[in-house]
Amino acid sequence: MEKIKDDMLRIDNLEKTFLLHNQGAKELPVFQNISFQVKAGECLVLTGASGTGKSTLLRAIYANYLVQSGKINIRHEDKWVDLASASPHEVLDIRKKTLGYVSQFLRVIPRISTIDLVCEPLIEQGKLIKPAKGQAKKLLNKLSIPESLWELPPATFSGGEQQRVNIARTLIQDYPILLLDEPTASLDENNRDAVIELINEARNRGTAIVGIFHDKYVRESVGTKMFNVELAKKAA
Amino acid sequence: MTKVLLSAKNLSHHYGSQVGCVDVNFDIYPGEVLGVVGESGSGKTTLLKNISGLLRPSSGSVKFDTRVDGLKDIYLLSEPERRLLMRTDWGIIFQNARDGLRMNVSAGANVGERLMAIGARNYGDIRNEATDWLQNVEIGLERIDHYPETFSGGMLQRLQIARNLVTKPRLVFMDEPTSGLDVSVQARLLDLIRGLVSQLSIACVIVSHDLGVMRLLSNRLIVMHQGRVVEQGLTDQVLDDPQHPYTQLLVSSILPV
Repeated sequence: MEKIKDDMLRIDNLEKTFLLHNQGAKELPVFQNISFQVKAGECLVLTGASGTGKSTLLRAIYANYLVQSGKINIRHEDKWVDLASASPHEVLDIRKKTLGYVSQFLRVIPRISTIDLVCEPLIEQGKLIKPAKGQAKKLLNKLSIPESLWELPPATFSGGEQQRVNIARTLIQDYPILLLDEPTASLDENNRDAVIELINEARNRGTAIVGIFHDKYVRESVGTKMFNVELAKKAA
Repeated sequence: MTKVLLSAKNLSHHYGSQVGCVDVNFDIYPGEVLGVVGESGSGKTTLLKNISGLLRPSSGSVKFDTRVDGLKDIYLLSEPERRLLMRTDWGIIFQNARDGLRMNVSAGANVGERLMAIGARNYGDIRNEATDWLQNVEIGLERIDHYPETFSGGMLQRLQIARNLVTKPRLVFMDEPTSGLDVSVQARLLDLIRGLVSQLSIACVIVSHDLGVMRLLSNRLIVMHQGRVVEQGLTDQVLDDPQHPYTQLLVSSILPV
């Protein structure tokens, strides 16, 4: 039970401003003084109106965006690493083993089939192709992607199908920390429920989750605590 | 962290009063793909030539982790030593495949030649290996004895890749490997490069002005402008949250499909 109580992610005084050089060096402050902690087995839901910087915050935690100041402390293989100051190689290693991210949209790769796309993270980890494919099939079934589509590249899939492939691609691996950006946005009820189940399974295994969910039902089904980005900004 | 494979320090190159590249510094680690982007004339190809032993830089050093002696300055090696390095541990994929192939010998011989250069002597083994590699790069086996002259542009580029990778180099330099090919051929080639590089865990330096290619292939990105490195970092971070004015301009100039 010790595992459940541990902090996995500590965000400390994060500040992000975009500086647009080609528009007269316009400064666009997004947030500052953002701090929170997430423990293993917790799901922190980021709330606040559209445009308050929730996705930007999530991307900053993934080191996809640079921050002006603050710390993104990640428990990586039982050591604390600050992603905000880590080297590119450390960031890549953390993303490979510890930190998973489901973006809003799937990035399709030409000529790569759905099944290969989904098991790619496992292959990169050194897992053999056969068991990796087995795992991918199980997950695709669970997310109701028809078997007839598995060998096709997902470029021509519907929005909901692409989103489920995107979820499968990240959830196939047991990341200790997960960042989810609207994973259920364009899904029907059945698929939404399947995704909720997957998220809760991960959480019960001890995954620390930070997510954005606009749907109140999803929020209440998976969230264990809330963090209002808008209020945090006002308080700052 | 694993040790550095290639290290460029304070690298500058001048063509008379013309600037090639200025004060470039970076390290490459085993198995990683480093992208170099920038507009034409920004010094990308000069840099690539400097670090691949093709062009001695005006100043600065290029060190490579040689198998026997560890990190050594490649321009302080003797000519035969450097040649050996280029034949064994390195591969160079030229933008124009004709520069990297021998056009007057067959496709199979183009691949086999590099094996012979590292000491392979058994004809059957060489032929088998060449056959395997032509299959890896999706060239039909009925073409093994044909001259490259009869190949299409995309096939020439794939043959060049087979010729370079057959000796399992530790580092491959690629100069605009997909430019000049139509998009479907380009996608096929990218898929191939992507697969081979990760399977064989080869380190790569890829020069291109195509940011889409970079996002697909590279782990890290260097942005060059007027001969200088203006920004470097994780590929997705540089493309999604560019910091330097030139990079912001570059990224915002992409036409969405």
